[in-house]
Amino acid sequence: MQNVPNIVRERLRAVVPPGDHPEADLLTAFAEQSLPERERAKLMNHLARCGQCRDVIMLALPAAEETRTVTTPVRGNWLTWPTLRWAFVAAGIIAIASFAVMQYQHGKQNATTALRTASPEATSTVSKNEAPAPPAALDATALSASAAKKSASADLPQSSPPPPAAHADAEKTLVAHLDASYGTTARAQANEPKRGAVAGGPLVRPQQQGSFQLQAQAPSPAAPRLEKQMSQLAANVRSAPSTSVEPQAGGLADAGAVSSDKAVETAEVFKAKDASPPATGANEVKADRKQTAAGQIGGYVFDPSGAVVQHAQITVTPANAGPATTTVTDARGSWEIAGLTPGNYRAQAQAQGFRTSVLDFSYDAKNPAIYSMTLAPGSVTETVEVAAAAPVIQTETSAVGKITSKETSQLPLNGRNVTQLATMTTPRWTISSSGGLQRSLDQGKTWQDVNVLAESDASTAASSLEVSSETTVARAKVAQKKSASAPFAFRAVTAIGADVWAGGSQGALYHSSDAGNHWTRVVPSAGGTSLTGDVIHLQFADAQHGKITTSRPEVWTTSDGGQTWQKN
Amino acid sequence: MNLTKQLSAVQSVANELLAELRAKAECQKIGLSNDSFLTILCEVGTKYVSEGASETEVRTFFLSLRIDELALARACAAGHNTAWEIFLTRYREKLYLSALRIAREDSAARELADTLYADLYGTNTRASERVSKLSSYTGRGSLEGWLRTVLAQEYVNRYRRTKRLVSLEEESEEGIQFRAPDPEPTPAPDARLGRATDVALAMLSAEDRMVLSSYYLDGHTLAEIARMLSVHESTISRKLDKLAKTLRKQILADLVRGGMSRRQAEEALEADVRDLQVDIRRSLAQEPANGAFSKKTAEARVPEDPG
Repeated sequence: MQNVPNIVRERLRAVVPPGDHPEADLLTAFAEQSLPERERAKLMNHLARCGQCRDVIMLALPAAEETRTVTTPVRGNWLTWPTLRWAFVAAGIIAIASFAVMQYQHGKQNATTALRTASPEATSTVSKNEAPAPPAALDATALSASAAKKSASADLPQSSPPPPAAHADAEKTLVAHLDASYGTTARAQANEPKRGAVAGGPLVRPQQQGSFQLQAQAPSPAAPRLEKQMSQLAANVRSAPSTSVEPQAGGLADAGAVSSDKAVETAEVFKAKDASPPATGANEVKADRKQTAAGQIGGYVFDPSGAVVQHAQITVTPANAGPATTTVTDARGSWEIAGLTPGNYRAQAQAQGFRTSVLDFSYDAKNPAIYSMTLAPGSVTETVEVAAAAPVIQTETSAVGKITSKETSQLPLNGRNVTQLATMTTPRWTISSSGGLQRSLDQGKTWQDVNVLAESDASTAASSLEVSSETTVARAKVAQKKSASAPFAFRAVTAIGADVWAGGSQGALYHSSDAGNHWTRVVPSAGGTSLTGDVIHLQFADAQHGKITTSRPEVWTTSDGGQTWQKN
Repeated sequence: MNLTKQLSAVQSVANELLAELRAKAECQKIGLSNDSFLTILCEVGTKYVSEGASETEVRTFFLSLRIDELALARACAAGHNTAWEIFLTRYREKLYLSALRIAREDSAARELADTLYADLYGTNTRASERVSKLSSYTGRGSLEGWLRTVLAQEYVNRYRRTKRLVSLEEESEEGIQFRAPDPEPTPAPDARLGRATDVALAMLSAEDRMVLSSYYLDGHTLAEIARMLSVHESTISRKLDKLAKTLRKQILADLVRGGMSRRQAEEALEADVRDLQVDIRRSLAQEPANGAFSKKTAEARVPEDPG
């Protein structure tokens, strides 16, 4: 942005401030563009000198919200040059595409001579045929082409306007065969109330009562889309087996002689793209053109470059404020909604990074329709929401993450201890040389003494988990009290997961079901006798079934996790 | 008398359109009588319709008003409860939200909104009659927009008042009153430059001057200015670029016509004009501190004279 010299700023500032300020209502009307020209000019004069009123207007502006693309149609003279130009281009593309179709349809095209005598009037015969809609759509465009080119090249066999009858027939057929409607172009033409040939940019229509409004398009974005639509038309035409296509196509072929270079180029490109083995002929899948059944609406969403927009949210709201229906465009940018009752609707297309586009239309269940919308990219002045997921972990401070031992011991862990969660590894057990029970929580790298007698302290012995700010991995600090020396020595230990049995001298037998944090003394007894002697071997197949061998020797077994024992 | 003629023209059109406008305004629903409504229409008509306006113009004017909002506002001002309930339902929250957007801070916003709310309700009395600010709404713009504008006006008034106070305090804190005199008094700016600039600015349209002032003086962004004028941002950007170039060209041309060489003119244009602030302050005479300041400068100059 060029700067102005300082002197300019100074002289702007030096103007005499005006005395009377306009009323709030006038300022509002100014901002809302509802002042007549004379009053607006007067107010503008004031604003040029009054910084205070400028500030007021700025502050009073409504919040900048996402603007909706204005769906006002372009009113104007139909036959203006820009419109005609695009009619030529469109007609040229149709011609080239049809010509390409004829090239591929071998063996089915007899009436090549018919090509030479083709004329727009032939469309009336075509229209009576049962050919699918594409020819009908081509009809209308051919009509438009011929009418538009009335004063243009004399290549057309007949340059006079089509007879009204032919036009009326074509129109009727167009309406009747609209199950394969090719966008708002054909539909709009169907809705035209007996106008003359509908020349002009197919995407631009004057507003009619009860009919929908189309998005105003600048010519350049319209052209690629139009060409795309036309190419897909061509693809479908290719699939049509009827010979009746040719006369009309022929007419267009001649008409195509007036096509511009651009049209030729583009048509060539599309021709190449749409090329497919001719043998598949009539059974070819209808290109990738959306077809809507009666009682259904659908459409495409494009961006300004003509590419489809996937995952755009489409919201269709009835004009009478009924429930809205939403859907999302698929990978091809297409969407459809079924089961709408006839009436007026508003379709809104939204996608991240784009401004919302709105299309008002009138839905008639007898005439299925395709509505295409183009999304303009959101500018920097508009809000583009970037959804960010809330962070799962609070890593800034440890204030939130501190869990006290009270909380850990109250965790619903079904008898297990929270430290087990933190360790995430199966502890290992051993007996030290002095007969002490030892546990390793780190696969044997370090060993800690386990005091079976200090069970009441184990949980409170500072086993607190902290989520430190350096690492997001919970570090379990298990501080164990120094174990008081046990009066006995352990001689055997076995563990099945978290179930631990440790036995030693003088019949000492301890069991822990939480990997050694809590212990209970077990005194096996059966038939009046208890286990005495040293426990020298422990063998548990699982938590329920175990065998103790003592020094006597005795063998005690249990099959219920140590609640009852049998002495063998 | 023109005024009588105007009044009668307004009255006759108002009478003609009364039924239609009354229906549109739902006067029955909000409790506004025929007579009151007619009086309101006449008042608004005479206020804004110019003297020589034709009947068609008067008719167009009435049809362009926000009749329903005007009726609601005036019914509220007159104290009709139904109208007031409708007003609250529609506008109370928006009032607070707009105040928050303007003041940008919760407590200030609340204060602003509450003050306006009280004014709208009519807590002030004049000659034992309740005076509501809503009586001054005339339906030219939307009621919601009017509420925002009134909030903004109140905010700007307060802010400017506070700003002036603060700046005085700041000045004394910064020691401006006791600033040492400039060692070298700066030469007076070239009067020709100021005149050429004035001429160039006068040739611009009001809109152009407004855009320039908004951008270069007020510091508003391109987007804000564009929104104010309901145009695209790029339009404002292009306009400003063009204006800057045009002004420069015209000022230079004027200086050269006045006898300067091209180089002199360019130098004059690029000269640092901080010195000009002295003159501007004096001429504007808005800050009281000016008196002491200019005296200081005069004193500084005095010793130079004999030397």
